[in-house]
Amino acid sequence: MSGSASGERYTDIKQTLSFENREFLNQIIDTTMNEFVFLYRGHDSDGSMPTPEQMQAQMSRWQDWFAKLTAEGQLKDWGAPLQSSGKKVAVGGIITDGPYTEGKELIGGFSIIKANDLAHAAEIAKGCPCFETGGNVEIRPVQPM
Amino acid sequence: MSERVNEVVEHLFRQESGKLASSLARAFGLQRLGEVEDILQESLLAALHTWSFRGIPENPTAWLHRVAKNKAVDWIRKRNCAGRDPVEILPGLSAASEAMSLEQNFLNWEISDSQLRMMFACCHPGIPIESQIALVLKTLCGFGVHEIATAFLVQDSAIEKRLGRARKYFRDNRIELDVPSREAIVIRLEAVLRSLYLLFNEGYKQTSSDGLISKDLCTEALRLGLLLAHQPSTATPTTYALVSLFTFHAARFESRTNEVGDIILLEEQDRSRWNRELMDRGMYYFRKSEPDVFTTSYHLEAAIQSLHVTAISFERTNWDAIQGLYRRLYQLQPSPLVALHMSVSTLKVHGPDAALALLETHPLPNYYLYHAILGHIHAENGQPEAARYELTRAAELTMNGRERTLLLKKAENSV
Repeated sequence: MSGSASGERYTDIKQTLSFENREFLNQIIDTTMNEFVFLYRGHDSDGSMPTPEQMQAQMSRWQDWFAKLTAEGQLKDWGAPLQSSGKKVAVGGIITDGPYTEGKELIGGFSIIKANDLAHAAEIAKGCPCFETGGNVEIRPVQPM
Repeated sequence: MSERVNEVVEHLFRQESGKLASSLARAFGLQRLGEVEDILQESLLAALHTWSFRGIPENPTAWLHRVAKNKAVDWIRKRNCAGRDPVEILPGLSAASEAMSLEQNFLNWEISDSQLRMMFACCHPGIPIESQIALVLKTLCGFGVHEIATAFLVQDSAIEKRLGRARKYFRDNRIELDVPSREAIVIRLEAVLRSLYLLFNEGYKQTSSDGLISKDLCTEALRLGLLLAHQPSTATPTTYALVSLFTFHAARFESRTNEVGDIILLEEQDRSRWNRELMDRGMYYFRKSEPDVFTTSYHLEAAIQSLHVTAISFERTNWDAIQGLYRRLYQLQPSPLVALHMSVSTLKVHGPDAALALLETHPLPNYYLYHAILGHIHAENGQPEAARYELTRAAELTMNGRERTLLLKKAENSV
C-alpha cells in the first residue's frame, strides 16, 4: 500500500519536472523555500531612554528592514510587535504575571521569513536593526508540513 | 515614494512628543511631572514598536493621544484600586467622570496655545532659570539630556540633576498647572524666550544629524515667538528682538545649503537668494524692538544679523560695526562662544594675529567650530600646514556628516 502511494508521488514529481512551464517551475522553487520565525529580542535599549530623535531613527531602520525584505521577496509575514506585559499559565491552572525577564531577553516582536535554509536565514538576519540597540534575533525553522 | 514619506515625517517624534507632553501635563498637573513623562515615554515607545511594523498611521497625533489616554486611565484606576488617597487629577471631579474629563482634555486641546501655556507653567520662579529652560526643552521640545547639555556647555549629569530637582520641587510643593497672572508672565518671559532661542539654535546647528538646518525646529521656534510677539502681555522689546533675530536667520535658510544639502559659508552665499520678504519682516520687528533704548543680547545679535543681511557683499560688510556690536555682546556674556563668533569680524578689522590671540585666550578645544575658524584664519594668514591641522581636527569633532565632508575638502585644498 505505502509502496504504491510513494510510487504515485514519484511519477507526479517526474511529470511536474518535465513540465516546461516556467511559472510552474517557479512555484516549485517557491515551495522549496523554507520558512523561519524571527524572534526579535531586546527591541529596546534598556537603561537610558531613547530621545524622540533616536526613536525616529530606530523606526526608520525597522521600516527600511521590512522594505528590503519585501523587495527581496523574503517576507512571508510581517508578524507583530509584542507588548512587554503578559501572563504565564502553568500546570494546575496557576496563573502568574508577566514574563518579567531582563529587557534584553524579552521578545519584542516576530516575523516570518522565507529563506533557502538556516544558513541563508542567518545571513538575512544580519541586516536586522535590533543589533543597533543591543538586541538579537532568534531564528527558528518552521517544521514543514 | 518611500523617500517622500520619510521627508514628511522628519522630526515627527520630537513634534508629537511636545504636543503630547502639553496635553498630559494639562491633565495631570505639574506636581505629577514624573507620571507625565512616564506615560509620554511609554506612549512614544508603543508608537515606535507599532509604526515600525505597520507604518505610520494617517493621524499620528490622534493615535498617540488615544494610547496615552488609555495609559492615563489605567494609571488612575490603579491608584484608586490601591485604596490610597484619590489622586486629584482633575480637582473637583468625581472618580467616575475622570475618564470623561480626560477625554475632553485630549479632544479639545489647542496645541499652539497649550504648548505656550505649558512653557510658562514650567518656567516656575521656584526653580533656577537654567532648570526651567532644561525642563521646557526636555519635556516640551523633545530634547535629549545630551542635547541640552551641549546647549549649556555642561556635562549630561548636571542636566540630569537639574531636571531631578525641578521635578521634586513641583512634587513637594504640589504645584498646580496654574495659568500665570499677567505679572507672572512678564517675570517668566525671559526663560521662555531663552528656551525658544535654544530651540532655534538646535535647529540651526543640528548637532547630530546629517540635515544641516532642521527647518521645522526653527519654524517651530519662530511660530511660538510670533505668538508671543502678537500677544499684548508678552509683546516686549526683547520678544521683538528675538523674533527679528529668528527672521533674519530664516531669510538666509535657502542659500545656506546647496541642492545636495552641503553647507555654503556666508562668504560664498548667493545673496540674491536671500528671502527679501523675511528680511523686511526682520527689519520690521527689529525697529519695534527699540534697539536705541534696549540692548539685550537678542538686540545685539539681531543688530549683527541686520548688518549681514543688508550688506551688498561679504567684503563690503560693515565689519567695524559688527566688531563693535560683538564687543558689547561680549560685555554682556563674556563667554568663549561669543569670542568665537567675534573672531570672524576681528579677523576683518584687526587682522589674523588679533583674531588668533582672541581665540587662544578663549579656547573651546572640543568644539569643531573653534578648530574650523582657527583653520580658516591660519589659511588667510598663509599658514597652510596649521590650517590643515585645525580643519582636520574640526572634521574629527563634528557629528554632522555633511559638515565633515566640507571640512575635509577644505583641509585638502588648504595645502
